[in-house]
Parts: sequence; structure tokens; C-alpha cells
Amino acid sequence: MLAYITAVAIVFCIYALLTLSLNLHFGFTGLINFGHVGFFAIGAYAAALCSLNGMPYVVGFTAAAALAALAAWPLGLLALRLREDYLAIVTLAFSEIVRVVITAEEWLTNGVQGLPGIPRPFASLGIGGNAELAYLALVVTAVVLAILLIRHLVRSPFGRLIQAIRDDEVAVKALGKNPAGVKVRVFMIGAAIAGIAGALYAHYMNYIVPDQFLPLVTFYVWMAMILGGAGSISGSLVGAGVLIGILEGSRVVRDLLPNVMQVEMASLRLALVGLLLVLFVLYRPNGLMVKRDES
Amino acid sequence: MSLRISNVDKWLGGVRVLDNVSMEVPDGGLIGLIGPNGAGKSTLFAVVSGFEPADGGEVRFADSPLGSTGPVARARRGLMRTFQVPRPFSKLTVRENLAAAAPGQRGETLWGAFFGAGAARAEQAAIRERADAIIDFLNLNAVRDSLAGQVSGGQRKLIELGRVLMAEPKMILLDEPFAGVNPVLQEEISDHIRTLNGQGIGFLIVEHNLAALSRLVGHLYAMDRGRMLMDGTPADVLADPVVREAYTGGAV
Amino acid sequence: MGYAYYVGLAINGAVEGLTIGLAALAINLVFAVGRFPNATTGDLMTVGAYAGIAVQQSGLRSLWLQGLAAVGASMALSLALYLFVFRALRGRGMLAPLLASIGLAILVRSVLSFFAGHDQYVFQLPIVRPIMIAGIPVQSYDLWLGGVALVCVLLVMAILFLSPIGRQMRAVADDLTLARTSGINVDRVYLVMWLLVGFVTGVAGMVLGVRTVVMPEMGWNMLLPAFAAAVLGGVGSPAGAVLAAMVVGIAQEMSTPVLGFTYKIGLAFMVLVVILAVRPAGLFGRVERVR
Repeated sequence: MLAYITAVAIVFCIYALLTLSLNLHFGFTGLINFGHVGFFAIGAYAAALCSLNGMPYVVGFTAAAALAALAAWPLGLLALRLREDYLAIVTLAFSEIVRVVITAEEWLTNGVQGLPGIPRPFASLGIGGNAELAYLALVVTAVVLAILLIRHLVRSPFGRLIQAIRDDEVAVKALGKNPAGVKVRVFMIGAAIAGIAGALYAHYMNYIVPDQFLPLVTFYVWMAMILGGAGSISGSLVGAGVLIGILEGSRVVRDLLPNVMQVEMASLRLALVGLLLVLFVLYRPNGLMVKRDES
Repeated sequence: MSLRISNVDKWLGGVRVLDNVSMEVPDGGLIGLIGPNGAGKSTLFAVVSGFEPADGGEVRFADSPLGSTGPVARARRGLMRTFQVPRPFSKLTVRENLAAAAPGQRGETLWGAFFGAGAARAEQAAIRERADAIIDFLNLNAVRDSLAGQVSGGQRKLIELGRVLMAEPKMILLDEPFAGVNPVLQEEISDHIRTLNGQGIGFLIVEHNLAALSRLVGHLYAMDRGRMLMDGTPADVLADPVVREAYTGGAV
Repeated sequence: MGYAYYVGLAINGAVEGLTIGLAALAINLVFAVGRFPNATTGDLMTVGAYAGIAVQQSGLRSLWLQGLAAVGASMALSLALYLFVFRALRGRGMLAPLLASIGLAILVRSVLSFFAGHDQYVFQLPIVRPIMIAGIPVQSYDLWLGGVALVCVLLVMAILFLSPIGRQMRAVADDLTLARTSGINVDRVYLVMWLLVGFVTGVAGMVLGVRTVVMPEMGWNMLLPAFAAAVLGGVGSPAGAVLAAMVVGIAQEMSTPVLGFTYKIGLAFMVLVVILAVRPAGLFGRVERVR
């Protein structure tokens, strides 16, 4: 039971990192990003490849953050010039390009076969089940650091500026401030956090394949963010919690309903995610935590 | 710092919305611009503030040509504008709206957000003080900590003015400051404009409320269908048959 | 591999392009009139194809009847989505309906796979020998499907550009407020638009289903190439969207020998990103103005 809870908590933390970083992009800066899973994938493969080539974990995690941020840079520049509906499509396309490249460049990524045998920190210490707990501690630390970082940013004058950009970019320009550089920086910071989440995921799963990085992951994270409320840090945790509740809860339900097959359960789980997204957009666009806005 | 607009043309979708428009706002001037709907006033503002490129002619500010510079560069030189429909940062408080407008904050850079916390804090304290003074001046004290998206339309107009003031303008292009504002507040805004003009800030004001505008400015330009009709004292301009024709014969 | 091989690829690509073009046309309609990228487009196609399969499973062998069921199902679903979701989201900007459409796409697909499972279905067609045109073997079904898609595109164009409701639709796309004040029944325009979307996606689903296999992800997989074509063609330019889709389809097929199968799928996105980097408003789009 403890092992199960630990496992769920680790996955929760990874989704919390993704939701927090998407919230930095969209909730605080208004950047529409439908390609978050792309940064997640880059982080996961960067960390996995570093590790599998015998480099220390620190190098892998640094590479994960740096490469994800680097990928965000041209995308951020593109974001400055695009209408927001085009940006939504372009970011979605970006994440699919990442997946296609990962699938195609077999010499590096082993293609659809994926990368097996990614080592997990603490596993080789010979502390048995405690290794899981140690990993959980690492993941929780990452979440806490991300929260502190984002909170500090948001409360600084820099954060006031990004929220002003979110509320009205034209007005920001009219005041003589250039939103361009700020937006690109935020895009890169959020991508780096998603990259770290990818690294943590790869080391936890031990085995990654391109199909783990479908756009569906991005939509999961969007649902979690909308549920918790765009622009709310605590909301990101709540949203990620609800998401994990749905993804994991359906396993519990399946144990209670032995007649339902696993694939059917997967369909129901997805249906619930889709339905919640629609219902929240319709009736609670500001999320669970905020009272319904009249505007 | 004077603003000189010379022979500006602007085409939109095959229509000449600005046709050889020229006008001048002298250093520290207080000038009005009128014209019926569709005269091209808002387009002129967009061109002068750099949001729309001109298709011909020249705009000079403080005796140097602005060329094809964008809105950010023009605002940094002190040529600022407000918008017909106010654009508040709706999820920031009124005070934050003003504070966000202060130019050159070191805390607004990523580096400054993390390092040099002491200096940044002192800087923010000074900014807050200045914002509070302007909030006081504009009578916005009651809503200082409300979200800007939740205050009245008239107060939003004042927030826009306050934000521009924080940004240390040399000249302000005001787009319909009285629209949707009750008469009492209109008088207040007029008083604020006079005070600021007395401090040397130039104004070019687009306004449909001709009575209130004539009481405020000493010189008026009149436009219709992309062309400058005439300029002169408010009494002369408003009595001119061509201007009257433009207002009665056109849109109504 | 002589030139016949490449001509074959080109023909295949053109039919593929027409299928993408139908989806892009449906996206374009919602883009222009409803003002958001509609992510349910692909799944509307899937539902149409499954309706056709359902008719086939019930023993009716006529492809026309199956196609009719496909169009009917897609139209009914499209109408329902509008009435129950998208109507309430009018005036809520771009993001709310986009998110809702993503949610609906996931919902529709998962409900479909819950009832129909993940098995693949095929439309049973009598075996026909390829016909030879100038020494090149061409599948006659491809010609048929290409023809059907083309007729459907022309029909929608005719409605858009020749009928009163089409004119009203374009007026709403140009300027909603102006259209409303000039007495256009905006509700009716939206209703007809969504029915048209259902019609187009139904035909597209059937064409795609006959050409390939019917499975829950078939429509979703068409979505990104169709998005790419719709953006490249330019919002409010239905002909541009179809043309761009043809280019995407042909480019995908022709590039397969060079780039390999995996990159073929990514080609549309890469073209999209590159073109938008150079022309942010799309090939035929306009830049928005600040007043």
C-alpha cells in the first residue's frame, strides 16, 4: 500500500510541475502553449540519454532543463509575431514535430522501441523500498523549488509586468515597454521546468517511448490548470491532484467493477477528462477555487 | 517638445482613411481634434503613436523625425497615448496598474527580480509613493486596491491617465477622455488636464463632447473623411459652415 | 522506380490532399465564422465513418447508403455540439471554445472506443482492377473518392458564394457586429454553418474510411495536417485552404521516398512552422490592427 501511495505521489508531483509551468506560461503571462508535452519529452530524452551514456544525474537534469529552454527560444520568438489561435496550432505542431523526430532518429533514441534501462537515483544504494521514498523526496523538492521560484517571480516587478502583458499587451507597448524579451524569457523558464519534469519522469519510469508524449498529455495539463484556476499556484496543485485522482481512481473503480475490461476503463477515464474540460470551460472558467466570474 | 504631423497618408483596404493630413501641437500645447465618426481621428492616433505605419508623410516629435519606429520607441521618447476604450490591466489592482507603468525598473528584468533585492525594494518603494501621489491627484483613493477590471468606466479612464503620468510623458494623445464619463467627473478630468498642462505636458485631445472640449482647449482642429478641414479657436471652428456641414450632413 | 511511380504517388497525394482539404474546409468555416480552431473536426469525421460501418454491419451493402448515414451522423453530432456547447461559448474569445472543442474531441473519441472498441474496420469493396491511364495504374476507387471530395468542395463553395445564406455567413465572418446591425439573423447563420461543417466532415470521414481503415484515432490523426492547411490557406479563404491541403497531401506523398514514412507525418507541421515564421498571418491572411 505504501509503495502504491508513493508511486501515485511521484506521478502527482510530475504533473504538478507540468501544471505549474503551464500556469507560468498561460495563467500569469497569457502565452498560449499547446505544446507543453514537447518540452516534457525533450527533458525526458535528454536526461535518459545522458544517464545511459554514463553521465552523472546532475548533468542529465541540467541538460534536460537547458535543452527544453533552448527549444522554447525560437518558439517564443515565433510566438511574438503570431495571432493567438495560430500560436495554439503552432505549439501543438511543435510538440508533434518533437515526437516525430524522436521516433525517426533511431540512432539516437531507438525510435518506437524506446529507451529501456534508464537508471533511477538512489536505486543502486541498496536501501530497498526506501529508494522509492528517497525519489519521492527528490520529486517533492523539485515541486517546492518550482513553487518558490514561480511565486518569487510573480510577486516581483517582473511578475507584475508579465501579468500586465497577459491583461493587455497593447497597453504595455503604449507605455513604452517591450513585451517581446519578457515573453521569450518566461517561455524558456516554463519550458525548463517542464524539461525537469521530463527528466524526473524518465528516471522514474526507467523506460520511455515516443508514445508517452502524445498531445493528450498537454491536454491533461490544460485540464488540471483550468480546474485549479489559471494564475493560481495552489490551484495548480489542486488541479494536478484531481487529474491524478481521475487517472488513478479509475483503477480503483475497475477493481470494484470486475466486469469492465481494461480498455473500456481507459475509454471511460478519457471520457471523464474530456467531459470535465468541457464542463469547466462552460460553467467554471476560473477554476474550482475562484467564485464564478460575471464577466 | 512639439509634435508636427506633415502630409500623412494612410490606406486601409483600398480606402484612403488619412489624406494628406497635417497639424501641429506646439511644446506644452493644449489642442483639440474633432470630427464626425469615421473622420480618421483614431487612425491618426494609431499612426502618430506608431501602432500603424503611415503610407506617406512624416511625423516629427521634438524636432526629430519618428520615421517607422514602433509604439514602444515613441512612448519611450515621451509621446504617449490613451485609448478610446480603456485598456486597464484588469487583474492587477489600480495601484499595481500605475506602478507597472513606471519606466526603467530594474526589478522588471529577470536579473533584477533575483539579485540586488535591496536596491529593487527601495526603487519599488519610491514607485509606490509616486503612484499613490497620482492616485491621490486623480481621486482614485477609494479604489486603490480594487482590481482595475472591477472599477467604473470613468475610473478606468482615470487609470489610463494615471498610468501615462507614471510613465513620465512629454506629450499625451488623449482619445475621448470624456466618453462615458459623468459631467462631474468630466470637470474633474478637465481640471487635471489643465494642471498637467500647466506643468508643461502637451496634450492632443480627440473628443466628441464639443462643449466640454471647447472649454478646455484654446485651439481646435477639425477633420472629416480623412482630411483636415480647418483649425482655429474653438468658437471659429464650431461656427464654420464646412465643419457644421460635416457633422450634420455626414453620419446623421 | 520510374516516373510512373512518382505520378502514382502524386495521384495518391492529390486524393489524400482532397481528404485533408475537406477537413481543412470544415476548420476554415468555423475559423472564419465561429473564430476558433475547432479540434472536434477530426472526430466528427470519425463518427461519420463509424456510422457508415454500422450500416455495413447491418447488412446494407450500398456505399451510397453508408455515405448517407455518415453524413447524417456527422451533421447530427455537429448540430448537437453547437446547440449544447459552442452556442453558449459565443463571445467568450478564442480559447474557451478551443479548449471545449479539445474536451469534446477527447470525449467523442473515448465514447466511440468504449462502444466500438479499438478494432479496425474496413469498408468492403468489390475488388476492381486498377485502370491504366497513360500507362500508369490508377485505383478507380481513388478517382471516385477524389471526385466525391471535389464535388463536395464545389458544393460548399457554391453555397458560400452563390446563395443568400452564404453571403450572410461571409458577412458574419467579416464583421459580426456589422452583420447583426444590418439585420442578419446571426443564430441562423451559425446553425447553417455547423450543419455545413457536419456535412463536410461526414463526407470526409466516409472518404477517409473507404481509403484507409476505420478506427477511433483516424480523424484525430487528420487534424494537424488539416489545421496546417487551414492556416496556410488563410482564414476566410476556403479555396485557399483546399489548395493548401492539396499541396500538403501531394508533398507528403512525394516526400515519402526521400524523408521516410515517419517524417512524412511531420512534414505538414514543419511546413506550417516555417511558413508562419516568415509570414505570421499565413499565406493569404491579414494582420490584425490595433485601434
